[in-house]
Amino acid sequence: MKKIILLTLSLIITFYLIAQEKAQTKISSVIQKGETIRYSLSSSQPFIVGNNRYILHIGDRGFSQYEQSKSKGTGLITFLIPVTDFNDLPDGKSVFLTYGSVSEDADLESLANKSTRCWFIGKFEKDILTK
Amino acid sequence: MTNKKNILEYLLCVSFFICAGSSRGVAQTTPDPGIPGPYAVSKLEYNFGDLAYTPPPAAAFPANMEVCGSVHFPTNLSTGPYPVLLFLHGRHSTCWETSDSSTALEWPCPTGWQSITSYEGYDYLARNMASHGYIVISISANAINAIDNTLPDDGMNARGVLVQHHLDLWNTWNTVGGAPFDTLFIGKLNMRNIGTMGHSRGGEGVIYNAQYNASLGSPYGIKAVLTLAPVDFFRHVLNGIPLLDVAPYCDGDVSDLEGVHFYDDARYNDTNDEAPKHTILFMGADHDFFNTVWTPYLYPAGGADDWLYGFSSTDPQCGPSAPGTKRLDTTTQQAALTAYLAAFYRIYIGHETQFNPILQVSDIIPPASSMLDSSQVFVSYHPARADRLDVNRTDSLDRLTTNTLEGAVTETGLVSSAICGGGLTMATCDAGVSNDQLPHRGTATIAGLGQMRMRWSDSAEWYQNALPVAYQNLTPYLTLQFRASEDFKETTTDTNVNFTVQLVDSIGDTSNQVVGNHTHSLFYQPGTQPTDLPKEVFNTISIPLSTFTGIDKTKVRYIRFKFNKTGAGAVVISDLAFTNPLCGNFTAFFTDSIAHTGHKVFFTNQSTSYGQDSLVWKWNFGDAASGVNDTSTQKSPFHIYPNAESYNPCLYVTSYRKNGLVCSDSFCTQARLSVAVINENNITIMPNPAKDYIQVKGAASTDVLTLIDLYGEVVLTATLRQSIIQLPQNLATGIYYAIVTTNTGRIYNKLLITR
Repeated sequence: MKKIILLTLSLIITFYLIAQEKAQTKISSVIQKGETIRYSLSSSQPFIVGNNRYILHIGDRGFSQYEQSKSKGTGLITFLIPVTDFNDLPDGKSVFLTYGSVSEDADLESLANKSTRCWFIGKFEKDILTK
Repeated sequence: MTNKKNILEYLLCVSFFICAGSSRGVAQTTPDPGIPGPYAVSKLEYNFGDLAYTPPPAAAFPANMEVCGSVHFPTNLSTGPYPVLLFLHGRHSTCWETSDSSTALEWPCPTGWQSITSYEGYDYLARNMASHGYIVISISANAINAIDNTLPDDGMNARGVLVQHHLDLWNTWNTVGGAPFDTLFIGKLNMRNIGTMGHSRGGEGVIYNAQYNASLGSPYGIKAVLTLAPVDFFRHVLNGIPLLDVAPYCDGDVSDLEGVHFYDDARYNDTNDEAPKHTILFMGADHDFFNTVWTPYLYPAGGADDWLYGFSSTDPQCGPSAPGTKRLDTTTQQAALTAYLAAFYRIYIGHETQFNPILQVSDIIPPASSMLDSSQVFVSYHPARADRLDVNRTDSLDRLTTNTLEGAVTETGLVSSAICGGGLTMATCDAGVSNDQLPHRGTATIAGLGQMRMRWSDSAEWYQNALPVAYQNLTPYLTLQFRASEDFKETTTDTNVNFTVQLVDSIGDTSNQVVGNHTHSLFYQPGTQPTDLPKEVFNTISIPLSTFTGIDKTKVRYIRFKFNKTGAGAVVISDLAFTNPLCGNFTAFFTDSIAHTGHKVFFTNQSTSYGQDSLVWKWNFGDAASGVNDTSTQKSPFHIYPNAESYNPCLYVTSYRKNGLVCSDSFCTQARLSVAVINENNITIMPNPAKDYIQVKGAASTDVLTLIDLYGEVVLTATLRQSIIQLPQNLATGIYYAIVTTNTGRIYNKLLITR
């Protein structure tokens, strides 16, 4: 029993340490404000304030206009998507976040596993929009 | 006392750097541009407030900006005007909180917070250049950084317009003075000889500014643009101005080194572009350490090692924690930039041609002050159009079989050969490899660098460009050059490649040069960071034609790349050319203006060259009766003619080339110069000062009005059919010469234009 507990604890700690190398990023909120959809992601670490751009990839579309802020070691980034563009996005497409551009034929799913600057966010659903 | 002290310090610094170079066993054949100059330096600041500037619509920016900056200058401003440099920083946090060094991206800063003075991060560069007699301005752009990512253009228009606003301010301080500098800088800035530098987003910003300045009719003379680890989001192309792009191999922020596109895109798109272009690759440099405010431990908040933006700290090339890391420390990285930035501006702004070999790849030993060795820095050089003969631009699929001179392109036995580059007419190179690893690559719709990719497996394999008869005489040129990189995807890890360049003359005699004897740039690119390293970056390889002996260089039929030095390998090449013609690209030209009284004529020398030549002037004013005073060797002299006759002045320009050859050009006025001065009371110009228009009274309808700025450039020419002349809106505030030419002579007036 003790061995099982120790093994479980070891696995948890190992997973935690691995997870620490790459920030945990998830959808925080999706709301409409006027003609703009504010698609917000939160992160366990502040987003980079640098010269390159974060790009939100939804299917084969990319969006790079955003606001960013941080609070107590976490980060918040809000992409500004025109309503018309948002409404044209097909449901079910994968959503990724990258820091920097990627090649047109990039396999983002593979990249998310290899790169610490590419995050898989989830699948896109219009219903996520908070009414 | 101060001057003597500074001269002593200067001499000690020179001695140190000479000794440092000698102690490494390195032969320094080119003078060191990074050694501090002889002038004592002062620094002042100006700050009109966080929201002092309401930008025009051209800025596409929804908020007010700060007007804040610093200026470094020679303490003793007794001469002048001095050449001007302006620096623009990139995107960084804007504010910091003193209690815990936390940072924010807002503008203005929250109550109790301090602004992060990113513009001060280039003080080390400014001090060095000011010690050589430059006035160096560095400006703040925090208001832009706070919200630029919310804008479709990421704030680029705003950056370009903000630079122009600061140039307008400095033009005012240069002409009429004003707070906070009063009269200190009046007549001290040469606003026709300006170099700009932009770091990161500032890099694309100064590109925008050069184009914005041109769209306004070039009120300021932007003569050199340096992009430091820039972004190139929007692929604007700058032609007609010498350009240097600096790329740090270990850039963890703009990790795809997209600034190389500024060089690549501008090479062949404009047949009238005579401006040289350069890139520099620093192998161990990151993005942030070029700015001391962005460097950890050099500023209380906001600094970072950008390589650690998700990349491994133990990467063998770029990881700061890797045993034997190849990363440059902050001192070395800043010293390296100091030396090469100085070389660039001292050549293209200061016309100090002795530094040409550094940026023209004819001396690949880094200057001692850079603290680098030749494995740590590589240069690309694209000469002015008139200074090169393009053999194969590799810019289209046709170049696989026919080169730019219409000679045949052939190869034998290569495992693979192809031309790629992206865009609508060529395949994208190495689809599937990340942008970070192939900075020069294009996309399906935007062309990248057209390049020839070759892979060999046997020493008998070769690639050849034939020269048509009209181009077989190579004696007018000094150098054969091309850009190249090892193709790391097709070669064995950690294996360097090498090959031979062979020239074949009309009777089959050959002469060989091993490429590795002229460059250190054919190496397996280092680093293992997944999706980022290694990177394939093109660098120029330059081989003096004098090293090819035993052949008839008036009848060279083939340039052959023989892959006989390494058993197997792969390279990518572009831009095969003969360069450095014996008589470089220069043109004699001048304009003239007549002083108000006394038949005194001012000549403005507008002869052009791009740092190729050491030029000597000789004037003959066409006034033989004046004896020894009929000639001058000054660059822009004046001459006092004895009477109101017509004269025919000439300018003779002699170019002394590095190889001892002497070339010459001359220019004489087309029509005989009339120096008659008519009664000034007959013709008047008002109002003075003027703003939008002037009225010329007393002139005939066939008389001509010419408006010339302080640097002798004609900004307006108009016949006086109507007495009221509208002034161009792009004229900056300042003093101009208004000359009315009649059929009997000229009248001259000084005119102040206020905007």
